[in-house]
Amino acid sequence: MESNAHLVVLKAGEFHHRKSFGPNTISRGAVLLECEWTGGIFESGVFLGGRFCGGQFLGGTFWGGVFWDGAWIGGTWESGFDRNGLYHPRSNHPPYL
Amino acid sequence: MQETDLPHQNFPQQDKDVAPAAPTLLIASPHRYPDLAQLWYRFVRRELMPAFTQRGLAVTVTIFCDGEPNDFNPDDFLGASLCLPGPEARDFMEFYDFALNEKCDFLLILDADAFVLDGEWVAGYLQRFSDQDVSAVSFVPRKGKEGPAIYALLCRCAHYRALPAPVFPSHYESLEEWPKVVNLQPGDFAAQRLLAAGRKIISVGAEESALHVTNFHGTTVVRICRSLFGSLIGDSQFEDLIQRERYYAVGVYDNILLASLYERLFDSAFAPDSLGHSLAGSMTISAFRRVLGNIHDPKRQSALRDWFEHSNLGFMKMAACEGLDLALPAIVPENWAKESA
Repeated sequence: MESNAHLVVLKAGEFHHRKSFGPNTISRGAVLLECEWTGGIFESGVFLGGRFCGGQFLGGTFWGGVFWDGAWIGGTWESGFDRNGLYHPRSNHPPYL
Repeated sequence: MQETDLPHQNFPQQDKDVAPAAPTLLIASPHRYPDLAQLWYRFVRRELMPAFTQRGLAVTVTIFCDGEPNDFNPDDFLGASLCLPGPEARDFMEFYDFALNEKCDFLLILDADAFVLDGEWVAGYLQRFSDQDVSAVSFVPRKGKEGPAIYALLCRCAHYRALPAPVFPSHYESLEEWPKVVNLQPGDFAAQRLLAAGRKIISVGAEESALHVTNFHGTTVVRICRSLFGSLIGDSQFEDLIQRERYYAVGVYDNILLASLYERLFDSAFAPDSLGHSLAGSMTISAFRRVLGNIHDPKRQSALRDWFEHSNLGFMKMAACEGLDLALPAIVPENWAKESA
């Protein structure tokens, strides 16, 4: 993890389990298992389980988590749930009406 | 059970001069890995298909190939249909509803790592459907919990189809209370709705179930994790995860048992990595022994032992079904016994 006062960059090779990341975070290849993402930019990596509460999902793989809020820009939606708890299968990524 | 016990009266009757159509059963299971599917199908074909056929049902089997489609060789699954992901079944979760809407009167959903050892016992429960309010029989409960689960669930399709779609997917409730949420597993929401409507679901108890069904846990999830991010985080962090989390540790243990049986029966590596090394797509025995050797808390050791013993019993029963005298692989390190004593 590389950080300064304004930015935390999660890099390839990093693995985080049941942690929370704030809006000043960028993922560049990290693997996040059952984590909470509250406003940063997910550029690449794996978001497995957990809850995406805000920010941008630009790339990487989303698998089995809850997409509570935020913007889906790109990436691979393997599976997950919307903010109503409903399941969305492979390729059926946000936004949802 | 006599064939006359079959609940034929539950099905639409044809003209008086025409024999009533045989009730139909679809046995359905999503699979990620063809090796596990081969083992699964071996038991289905030997135990379940004849038992239901003898009771007058027309039986079909559909295997959802949720991995690389070319990995599944149709010759390994003669008599079954292989279903590939498509618009109506994009993944394993949608496959459950897809299967429900196939032409069948009964649907038996059977987990990829659930092995019925006694088809006669399962088929014997058909008579319970003569009660028109019975929607399903759940043959394998969740460990430590009551109520139906989807591991081995025989459904009366008409009842399930009457529910608003989608019927089977898992579901979150109380998300605003995160992380204290309710995570309904596949089939749970359907069961809730059926029970609320006055239907019945028969849940077989753990003791009875264990006599007739072997059910492993987390075997596919561990392999998915290994392939999805194992190489990204490296062996050390992956082993730390297995060491910390009971669910994953049990999945690794169960894969070792399955490998022991599979490799004896099919003479091919189980859960291989890209180089074909046995179990490297999950975790090798030597790596897992190292992981277990780092667990020193007697309570954790005891809890894991409990799970391992459950798996061991199932494994031995599967081997007995195959007429094999297989020894349990030596997995638990010796220092556990010393530290627990």
